[in-house]
Amino acid sequence: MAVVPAIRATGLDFAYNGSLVLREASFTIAQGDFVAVVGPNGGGKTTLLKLILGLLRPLRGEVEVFGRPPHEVSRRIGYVPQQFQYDPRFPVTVADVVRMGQLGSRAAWNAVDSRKLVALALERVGLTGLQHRPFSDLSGGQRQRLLIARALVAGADLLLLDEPTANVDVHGESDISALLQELKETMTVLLVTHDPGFVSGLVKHVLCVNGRVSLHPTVDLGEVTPEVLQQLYAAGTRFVRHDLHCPPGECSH
Amino acid sequence: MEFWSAVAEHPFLRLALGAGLLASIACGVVGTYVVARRLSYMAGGIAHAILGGMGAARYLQVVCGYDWLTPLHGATVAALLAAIVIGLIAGRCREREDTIISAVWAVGMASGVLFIARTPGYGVDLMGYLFGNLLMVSPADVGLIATLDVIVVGLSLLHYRQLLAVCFDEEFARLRGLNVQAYMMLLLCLTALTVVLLVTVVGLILVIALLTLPVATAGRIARSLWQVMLAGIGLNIILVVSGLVVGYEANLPAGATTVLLAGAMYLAVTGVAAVRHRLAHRLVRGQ
Repeated sequence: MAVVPAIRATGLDFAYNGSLVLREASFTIAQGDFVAVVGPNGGGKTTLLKLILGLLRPLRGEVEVFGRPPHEVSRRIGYVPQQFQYDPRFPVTVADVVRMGQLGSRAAWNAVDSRKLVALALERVGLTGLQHRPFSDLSGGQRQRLLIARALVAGADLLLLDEPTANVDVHGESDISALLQELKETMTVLLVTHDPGFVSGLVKHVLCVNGRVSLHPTVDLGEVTPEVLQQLYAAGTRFVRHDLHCPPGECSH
Repeated sequence: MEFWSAVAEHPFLRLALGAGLLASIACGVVGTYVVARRLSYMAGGIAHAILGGMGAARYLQVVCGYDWLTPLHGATVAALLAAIVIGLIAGRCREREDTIISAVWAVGMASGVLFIARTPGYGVDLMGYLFGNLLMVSPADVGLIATLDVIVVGLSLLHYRQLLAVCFDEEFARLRGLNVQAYMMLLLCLTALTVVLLVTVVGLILVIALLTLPVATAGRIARSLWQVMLAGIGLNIILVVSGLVVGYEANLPAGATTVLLAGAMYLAVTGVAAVRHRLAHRLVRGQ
């Protein structure tokens, strides 16, 4: 029996106030894939995430997650929004934030189960022992890992992250990269980023979004020519290949 | 102290104290959501809009002979109506939230002024509505305040986790299957009922101060939402009792005294926190 893809989008159109943001977006992402979503600001990356999450409805076309409409499988989707959209002074503890991920699940009704799962999720993202720490006390990187723990606590199979390293320092970035390395073994990951470099070793496919959408494998780079990138970004681009090893002194360009 | 012996002697002071304590509980719980979700301006709009309801109820009572109708009944209806109008328009129409709140605020006050102008003996009532008069609370008022208190605190605690999620991150709450618009409406209605409770204590103009200042002060010392609620209830009780005591002893209006005490406490705590932050910053830079 064929394995159901993690995400299948067919002919997606989406418009804000009559202005088309996405046109005929069609792509399929297999289970276990690790995809970097790249593209210029306003190109429709976050809109695409919200369509996959079921928070927005397409004008035309359809999106399926694990073969079902997104709202029917919302428990299997973990979502990590950009952390700076939160009020850093909101009076909430680390455990409270993770527990939000359990809303609507059975664990929410059993205090012991809930505590165990929260502790496990925090251990998974390297925040053990910080349960009672206020959200406001965490660094940017820690907040981002906390939001990943909230996304994971209900047992997600698909993780969507929207610019997880925005406003995060170098240490935080490397912690998140290590965490994603571990997570990619057990789930499908879709990551919106302006800087795919920090996960370049993990990414199997790149989804280029700028009104239109195209999916390219990172191993076979034949399709992602400088012309394709020029067309997507309409600006000068640098083409970085991670599949080649270049001995020192031999690479001048 | 003279106040406590007067409390033992005069039933009206016991009623005032009871109403103040009951309002403090709801105020600590709902004020926490209002401050955390930044709904202060919305609460201000609801508070001012209830003048329309109070004025209408007073007019019907005095002019039309509906003796059972009190201004507190009118306030309750108007507050819920204002909350529903603000919630529906803000949630469903593409109208700016501050514009809707300003409109509800102004229309409510204007209709209140019209009703009061048509009601004989309006002068004394107007001051009582605007600045509160705990000493005029009747046993029936305390009964209504207690009922509203049970409703407000019960619903707030019953839906604690859902309201926390909606206040912290609406989008994520929606992803987890919560009806965010329904919970926001619930929160607005709870705020409306709490405003009604507080109008008796400090009047509709000063409601915002008591709804936000003690909770904002509590937020400086507490870590989580429920801790802020408990500390907010404690501070509200201290402030309401202090306001009554100081007001009685110095022959000052209790509502205004309570609000001034709340303001002084908030400024003092914020000032101390700012100095501590600056000292800590200097220490780090000096290392």
